[in-house]
Amino acid sequence: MGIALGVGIAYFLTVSFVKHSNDIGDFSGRLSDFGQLRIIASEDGLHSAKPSGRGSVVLKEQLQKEKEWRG
Amino acid sequence: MQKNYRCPRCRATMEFDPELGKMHCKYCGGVFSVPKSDESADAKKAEEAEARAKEEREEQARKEQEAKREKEKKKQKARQHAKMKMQILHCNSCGAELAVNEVEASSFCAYCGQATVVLDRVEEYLEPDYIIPFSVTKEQAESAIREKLKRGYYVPSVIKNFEVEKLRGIYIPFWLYDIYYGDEKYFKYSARVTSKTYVTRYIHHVAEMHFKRLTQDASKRLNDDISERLEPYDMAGLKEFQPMYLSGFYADRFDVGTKDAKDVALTRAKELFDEAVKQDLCDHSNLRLTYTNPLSKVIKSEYALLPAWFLTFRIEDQPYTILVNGQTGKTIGAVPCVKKKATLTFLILSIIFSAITVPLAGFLVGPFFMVVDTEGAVLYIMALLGIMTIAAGIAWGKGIRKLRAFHDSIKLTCSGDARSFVHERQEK
Repeated sequence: MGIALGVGIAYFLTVSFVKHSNDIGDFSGRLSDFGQLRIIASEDGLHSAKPSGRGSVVLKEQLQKEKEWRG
Repeated sequence: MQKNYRCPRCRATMEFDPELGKMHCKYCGGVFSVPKSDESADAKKAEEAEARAKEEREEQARKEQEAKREKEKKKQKARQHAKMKMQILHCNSCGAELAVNEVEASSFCAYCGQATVVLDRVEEYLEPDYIIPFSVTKEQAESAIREKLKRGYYVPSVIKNFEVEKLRGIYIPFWLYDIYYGDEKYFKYSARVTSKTYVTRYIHHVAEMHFKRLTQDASKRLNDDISERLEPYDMAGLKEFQPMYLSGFYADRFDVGTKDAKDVALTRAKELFDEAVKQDLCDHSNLRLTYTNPLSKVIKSEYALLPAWFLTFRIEDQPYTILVNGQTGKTIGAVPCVKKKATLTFLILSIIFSAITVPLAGFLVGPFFMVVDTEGAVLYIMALLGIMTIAAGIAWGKGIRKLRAFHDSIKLTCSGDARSFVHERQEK
């Protein structure tokens, strides 16, 4: 088991070195490049609430405002 | 006829207070100077004129806004039908097609690296709305790539010494989407009250995101993962399209319509939104989503050309492509490693770490045979073996995951799409 652990660590380090050497660049654009999250409501409580659809109504209104603003 | 003077605060009737020499309201106690007769008339006229002027200004602003929107709509409509003539170059090796704005005497194919490109025809292209012109020169792109590769100990020397002729600037077609995304989510999670008791709590979360110019590549040939890796592009650098920007560069043609790309963009918007919500709620662990009601809409779509430098080369007849973002200089790509060096590294590290872990295991196990009873020793050894097995499993697991990620990166830069494109052409 000592050998398995030693070889496992060696394998992990070898792959890390090779990846660092040969895989250039990082992945994907940052979230903030495209927009910011805007919290409309965030409640944390002990009581479970059945989805009332209030949030969806607010979101639909926001979307309508966005469409009107854009013309 | 006596006129009632109303208090401007509470609208009660005021009376002149001789002691104060001013109008006094007995209800609210307000005291007001007696306006001069022409002053009050002037003030009233001024108020009316002010109100009229304000109305006119608002009306003017509304008309200007309306005119602006009309102009924008006409412009968009005109762009939809605006075409431009481009010369199409065809590669006889892989079948790739690239468009140029002026004739090039000889060139290598930017996709497969072969010098088999010929002028095929002139075609009309849909004119883009915007373009981000190249701001990274060929020399800067070359030095960015050489800088990344020269530091790579495991990079083959044939890749480190690439030929500059095989570096091509290409404008990649993208759809830019303004997307509205909102979601109402309900979560539940277990919160610790004491060391032994937990309580279930519930989160109601409503949020929205306005995505501005979310990019989605409009070329089937270019893998979406590659184009995402090239990001981010700074949209502040977008300019109204002029054909002169294409001089000296290629432009890839768009073959993914906005309707197809829209669905992919909406999926991407959802992933980015969910990621943002996860970050917002990162203080809570073990969140379980119980309800979600997303609302998404593409508000606007635009067609733009974004710049990238392509370096293509072949190793053992396999094409690889390294890309450089033509605006920011970000370099992406993965190249195969020198297997002998990697194997040697693995062997040396295995010897070193085994030389540490084997004696360590012996040192930890040994004393218990001498001191503790047999049953206790067995339990202890089993626990120790368990811990070492888990540690070994973690090391191997992480190593395998990293290797898989590295192979995925190499696959992306292997121009897999171009290869299958060639294969189809060869079979026809």
